[in-house]
Amino acid sequence: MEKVTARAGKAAEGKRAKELFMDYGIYVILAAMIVFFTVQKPNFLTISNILLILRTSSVLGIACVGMFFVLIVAGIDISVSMNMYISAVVGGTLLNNMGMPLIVCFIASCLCGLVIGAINGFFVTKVKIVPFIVTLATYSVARGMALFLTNQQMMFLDNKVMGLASAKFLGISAFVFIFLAVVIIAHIVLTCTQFGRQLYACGNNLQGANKMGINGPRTVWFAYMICGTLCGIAGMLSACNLGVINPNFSQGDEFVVISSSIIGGASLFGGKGRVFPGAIIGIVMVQAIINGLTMIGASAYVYTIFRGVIIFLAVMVDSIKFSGEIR
Amino acid sequence: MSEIALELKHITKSFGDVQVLKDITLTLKKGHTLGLVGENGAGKSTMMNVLGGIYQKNSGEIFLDGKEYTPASPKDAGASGIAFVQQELNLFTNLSVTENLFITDMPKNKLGIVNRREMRRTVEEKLKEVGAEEISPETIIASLPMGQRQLVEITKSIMAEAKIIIFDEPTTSLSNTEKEKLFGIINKMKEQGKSIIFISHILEDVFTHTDEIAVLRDGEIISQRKTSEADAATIIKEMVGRELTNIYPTCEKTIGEVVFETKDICQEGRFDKVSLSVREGEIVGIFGLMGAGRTEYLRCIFGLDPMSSGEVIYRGKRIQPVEPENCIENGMALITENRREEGLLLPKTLRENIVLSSLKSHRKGNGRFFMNAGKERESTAKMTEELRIKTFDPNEQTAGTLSGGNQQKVVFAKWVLSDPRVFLLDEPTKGVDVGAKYEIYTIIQDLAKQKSAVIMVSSEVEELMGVCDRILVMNNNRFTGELTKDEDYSAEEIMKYAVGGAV
Amino acid sequence: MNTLKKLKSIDAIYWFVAVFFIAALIFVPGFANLAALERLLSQGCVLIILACGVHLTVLNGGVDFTSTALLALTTVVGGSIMSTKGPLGGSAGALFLGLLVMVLLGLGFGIINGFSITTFKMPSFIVTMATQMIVNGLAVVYTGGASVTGMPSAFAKFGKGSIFIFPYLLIVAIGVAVVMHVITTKTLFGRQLYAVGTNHKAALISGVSPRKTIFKAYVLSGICAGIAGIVMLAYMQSGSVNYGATMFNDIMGSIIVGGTSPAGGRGKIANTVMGALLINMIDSVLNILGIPYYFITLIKGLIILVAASIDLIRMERKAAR
Repeated sequence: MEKVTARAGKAAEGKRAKELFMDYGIYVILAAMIVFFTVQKPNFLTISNILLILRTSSVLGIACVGMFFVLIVAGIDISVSMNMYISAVVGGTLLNNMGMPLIVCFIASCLCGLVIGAINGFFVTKVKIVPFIVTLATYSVARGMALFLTNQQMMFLDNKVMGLASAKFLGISAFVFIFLAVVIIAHIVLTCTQFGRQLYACGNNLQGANKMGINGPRTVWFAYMICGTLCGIAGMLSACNLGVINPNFSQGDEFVVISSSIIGGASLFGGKGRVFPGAIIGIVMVQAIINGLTMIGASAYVYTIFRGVIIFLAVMVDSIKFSGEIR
Repeated sequence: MSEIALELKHITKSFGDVQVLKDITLTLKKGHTLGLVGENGAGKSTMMNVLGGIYQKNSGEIFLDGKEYTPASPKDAGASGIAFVQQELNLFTNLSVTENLFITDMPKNKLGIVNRREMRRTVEEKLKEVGAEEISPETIIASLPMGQRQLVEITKSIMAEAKIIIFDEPTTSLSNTEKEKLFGIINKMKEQGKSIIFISHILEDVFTHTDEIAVLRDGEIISQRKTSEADAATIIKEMVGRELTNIYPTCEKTIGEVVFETKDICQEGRFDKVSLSVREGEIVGIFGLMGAGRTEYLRCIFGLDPMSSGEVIYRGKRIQPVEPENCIENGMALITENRREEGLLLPKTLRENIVLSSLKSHRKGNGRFFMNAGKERESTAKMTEELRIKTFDPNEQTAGTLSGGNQQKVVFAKWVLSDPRVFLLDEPTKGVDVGAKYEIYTIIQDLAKQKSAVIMVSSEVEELMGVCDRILVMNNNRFTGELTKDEDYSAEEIMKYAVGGAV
Repeated sequence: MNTLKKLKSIDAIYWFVAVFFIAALIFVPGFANLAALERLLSQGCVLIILACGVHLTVLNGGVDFTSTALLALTTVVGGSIMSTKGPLGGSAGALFLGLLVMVLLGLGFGIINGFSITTFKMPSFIVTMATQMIVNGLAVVYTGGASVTGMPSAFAKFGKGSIFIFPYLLIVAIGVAVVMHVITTKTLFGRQLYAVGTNHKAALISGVSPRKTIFKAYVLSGICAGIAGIVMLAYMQSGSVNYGATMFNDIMGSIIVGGTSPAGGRGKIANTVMGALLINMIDSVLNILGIPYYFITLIKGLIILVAASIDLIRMERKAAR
């Protein structure tokens, strides 16, 4: 009798260990990498580098918050990077060619992002095409449009943007505060409003949501629109940060955004994740490692492979967790 | 108290060319319970969906408290005071009880921020009303057991000040105590002046708990009368529209040696050494109340759910590994209770469905790869004829377009064709009309006659008593009783084992 | 009446191809010459083979992004083995080894994809996107970004030669398409594939193992990518990490324009081949007309959206009836 319970105890222990690994394993690996970089390059963990990491995280972090909305309703948006590109181009054009004030350019970027998000949402909810196909198509369309608008040229932004790019408060870049503001607002929307809770409901069981009288399609559509709008902001901020918009602007960033969101606790299967602190943890970890890889002089292709591996691992953990879940 | 709460007049509704509701005329008095009975496919759910604003009626009028009522959406229906308690649970497992109950109308301030304290207070009150004080409003649904989830579902329906509450087969997933609790709640609601429509397949419940009974058949209300003036025989006759003399077919067969055994089946958190054996040509019934573990047992020994230890043995040979593919290769077959999700390829033709589990034996010659289309067609024709599946062309018609009974026959055809020796049937007549039920009983008897071993799970005691040679009763994930046909079955005896009170 | 019915039963894609072809012949100068048409067909070969492979994965409700990256990896690895500048000096043995390695590489990554998707139940599009990045990275690591040249003459002959007017490469592509057509329509595996794509659970309970079926689909898709690599290498006579970089839209476009449902369970190989031809024709017409490449990208994105929308709307109408 005792033996049996002992074995059962061990089995439970093993199970708990597995669960622990599933919950925290990826953080341990990432933390280990950060320790590795610190040992390799002592100036990795300096205040100035940390501030730099936070600043670069802030730009994509905003897109990450957008991705959270889409992931919560069990969708996916691959077009985020090209959405950032075209929004930045629209904002940049207004800034350069028409001399509009920066705030107007930001509003224009937001609107551009909103339109693309609305198109994504339309095809996902009204025509009911699989999200990854829709957003893959809008990825191409947005990229084509942006290249057309820039005539495939680099676009140098007016010096006005330097003001924002170098603005600091308490020694911390203004970007970080913009990111934090977005996170806080998103967190409040998601946890303290009916709309936010309905987003989670739709991600958990869309059919059930419709039956309950939630306007499921509209809610999901809104999620895509929010994601698009935030990508618009992220795109313009990124352009301000770099001062220039290249033809390969933000290419591949969709993977950074998706993997950061999943590491931050969102799930590809919907209904899960907290923007605060998830989005912050996810994006800062991923950016810290990208930063570390650059510091130890890893070449661009190592970075590509790394992106592939990290998204693979994040999704693997997410999938294993999900298959053990009962809905 | 005989004011009319709801009145339907000559409602019609068709989908494409199919007229589902032909002429629905029905009245519901205030503070009364109206039982609604009818075969599957009679139009009950369509009618409820029209009331609930999910479908729009084609013609006719509905009056709610004497005023014309045409709901455009489920929200509309809710606002007008019509609430539903669905058969299946409709809860968001990632949200808390409170959030589930308030998901469409949370109290909020001007900024749209939700007032959680107010929500919790209301939920606590409502939970008490239903007698479910033990549930904390902040619990996430995923961590509640099924019975408690059902209570949350019922609480949901009384959240809005509903005047009319429609219960659509609410008792199917409830244990007996939970069921009693439910009827208690219904009576309470009645006392508060609410009107109730109670849809059920279980006549007994309808007779004991309603004031009036309406019978729906083929999209028409056949009768509506006071419960005290109704009798079961008449109601059944009206439901099916014909007399059924012999409900359970019998046949001559011989029962042989034990051929199929499951030994010491264990599943973590559920089964602890549960064994069972079946003889050749024997039909063994498994009865148990909801949650007793019957379905789970079948799924476990078929390899659909994990088995931590135990043996599945056919004719002395241990089947290993216990995985669906291997079980099938060793002559086992499983018919699940939800054929639309787990039994059929709805958008595919009958032929593709019927051949599905015997694809390998329909290969060309001795080859490994190629299919023999001619042989497939032959087998399909044979099966559709043998099981009398109503179809215009099994090579063209898709399974999704068949009626429930015919769909179930396709599932049977699929298995009969692959010629298994051990049949595991999980509620084989669920959602099937009375006429088709009889045909399915005949098929089951034929299987036994051809020396298959049959294990049949059912919630209907009567059905098991009519069909099975032996009945095992399950309670709390183990077998608590066994009855054989020779000893004469008694429903009370079976129920005694099922509630676990027997020694 | 009967002929009308027959005409109606022809899938829409054939009409698109025919109408587009005739319109291009009439309205696009430079489209209607033999050399251009031959080039069109040769270029289409790679797309046809890749699309046939990915088609299998789409049939079970998944997708395979890796194939475009595998195209690049196999050409550089296979090319460097065959190359006259390589350690084996372009011998016949090197040629065969090169071809074998290309197919095996495809197979290997097919196995990795299939394993991850069936064992961990990961969504296929993310898995294959991740492996796409990894494979691409590996290709760059392998070559350092340079292209691989110096194919042996026998291989050059294979790339440029033809029987009558049919290039060898086209024959290979048609061969692959025919094999895939037979696999999907006539074999046990094909039937299992459609069953799993239509209803995963019902297939499992009926003794069709979704795991094995899905796994095989990804392996076959990988092998197709390897063969596509061979054809690409033969056609270009050099291996490069840039091959296939922009091809995924073409692959998905071919499959969806051909009427295959992205949700799985429905679609024909022949239609996907027609889809590939259509996409290729659109490509070359736009090129002849001098449309800049970014517009072509944009148009292809739109094609996917429109084709998928039309398909879904038609299905919905059918269901309503």
